[in-house]
Amino acid sequence: MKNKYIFLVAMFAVAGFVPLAVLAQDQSEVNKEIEKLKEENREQNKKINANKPGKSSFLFTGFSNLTYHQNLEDTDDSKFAHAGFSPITIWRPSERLMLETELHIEMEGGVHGGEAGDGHGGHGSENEAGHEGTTFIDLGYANMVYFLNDYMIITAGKFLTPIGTFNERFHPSWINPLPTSPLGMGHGSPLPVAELGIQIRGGLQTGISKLNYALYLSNGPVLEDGQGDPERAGSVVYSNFSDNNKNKALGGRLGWLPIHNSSLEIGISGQWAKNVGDEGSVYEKVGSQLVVGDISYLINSTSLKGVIRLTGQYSKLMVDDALYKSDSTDIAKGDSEFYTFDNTSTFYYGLISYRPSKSGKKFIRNIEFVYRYDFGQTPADSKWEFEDARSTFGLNYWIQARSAIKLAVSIGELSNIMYLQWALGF
Amino acid sequence: MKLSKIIIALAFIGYIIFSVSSCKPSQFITAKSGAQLWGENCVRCHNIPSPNIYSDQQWELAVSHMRLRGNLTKEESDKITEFLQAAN
Repeated sequence: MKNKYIFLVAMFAVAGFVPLAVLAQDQSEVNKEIEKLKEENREQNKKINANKPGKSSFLFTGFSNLTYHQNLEDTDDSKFAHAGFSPITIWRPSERLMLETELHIEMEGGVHGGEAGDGHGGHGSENEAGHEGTTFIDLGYANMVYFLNDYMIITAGKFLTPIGTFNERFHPSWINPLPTSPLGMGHGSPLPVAELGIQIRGGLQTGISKLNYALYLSNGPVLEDGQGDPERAGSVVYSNFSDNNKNKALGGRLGWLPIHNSSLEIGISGQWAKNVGDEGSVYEKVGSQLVVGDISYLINSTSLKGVIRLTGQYSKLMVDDALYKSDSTDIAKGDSEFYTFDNTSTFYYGLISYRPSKSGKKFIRNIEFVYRYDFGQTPADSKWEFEDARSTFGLNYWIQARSAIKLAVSIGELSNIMYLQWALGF
Repeated sequence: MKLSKIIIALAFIGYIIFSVSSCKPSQFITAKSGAQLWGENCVRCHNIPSPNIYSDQQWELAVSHMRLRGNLTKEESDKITEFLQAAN
């Protein structure tokens, strides 16, 4: 009987111990699993935190293009004349600070200096892109920006000159509805493209109308006095970033949008440089004034089933008269030792485009018709005298909102050229 | 000729000063949505891309860039950013 109790107790003991032992073993494994999961969680968090965005942000964007050129008067003159890649980076380390940069990496086939592409237009001027097969890299702008308040933005660095609207707003090839820039505009042309200096600008609502302004101080233009290149005597160069005197140029633009839907904008702009000649030279007191008027109007018409865009700009560059030295060949021909001329240049253009963007057919919606008339005239009697007037007819097909195939025929006093361009914004 | 140019310039400047000093944004203007402002302002220079081409953070940068380039007001750029971030 006693043995029976002992046996039963032993049985209960074993029966109780075994599950406990098993439970203890399971708990240990569970704990190990928990530790393992915790470790995995820590590793995952590390990976997640490694990619966690900070307060600063960055955007890489830009545009590219390829342009084919066919001289309509010389069938042998046909080529892929221009390829360009223009990356834009925007970095914003905080709410108020921003840095924007644009780089131009371009290859030109030549013929007319930089006639196609990213605003590298401009007959009547020599530029670095005008040589056969030249590849060049140019800093379009590198602009440090501080958003001071709702009405004022301060920028410093190399910025697009706020003169007119083409230079700042329409120069990218995916925005410009034609493969070429208007006469006088673009890199290497007589009008300014980018300036080194400081600028304040902003926009404000006034009732139903809007105002915007830009005011800047820059190194300003440099007068080519003929010492280095007699053929350019009297011209001013805006792309020279070394300041040749103590004087700084003051410039700006005032824009007014009188209609509530911002469809019309009228702007006046200008730049005044008291001294553009080399300090200490006889040209030191020569000054320059640039006056520009611009207008843009957008008609979003239901009856016309599309959008009509009208833009125009008139620019007048005046440089004080000065005496320039004739070269020895001219003197040998009987010319006097010095010559002068009325140093005024005029450039203007008007553009109209129509895109039936409200058509029921996709193919029709993506077509755009463009016409531009542009005119450029540099001073008569100067060594760099030039005059041209062009009518350019364009037909675009928009593959996407930022990519178009553009076909254009330009009929000018100096040349008739057909262009085919693929422009892509990204 | 010169006098008429001066008068035109002064009249233009005077109108602008009058506009700035006498007008604050009308209710009609302040009631505009981000989508409406996006449609009105961006198309002034270029085609309107789809909102889904950029992330929320990228749109903040792109619109800041446009505030500078296109002279948008602060209110316009804020509303447009909000719209694009909701629509992308």
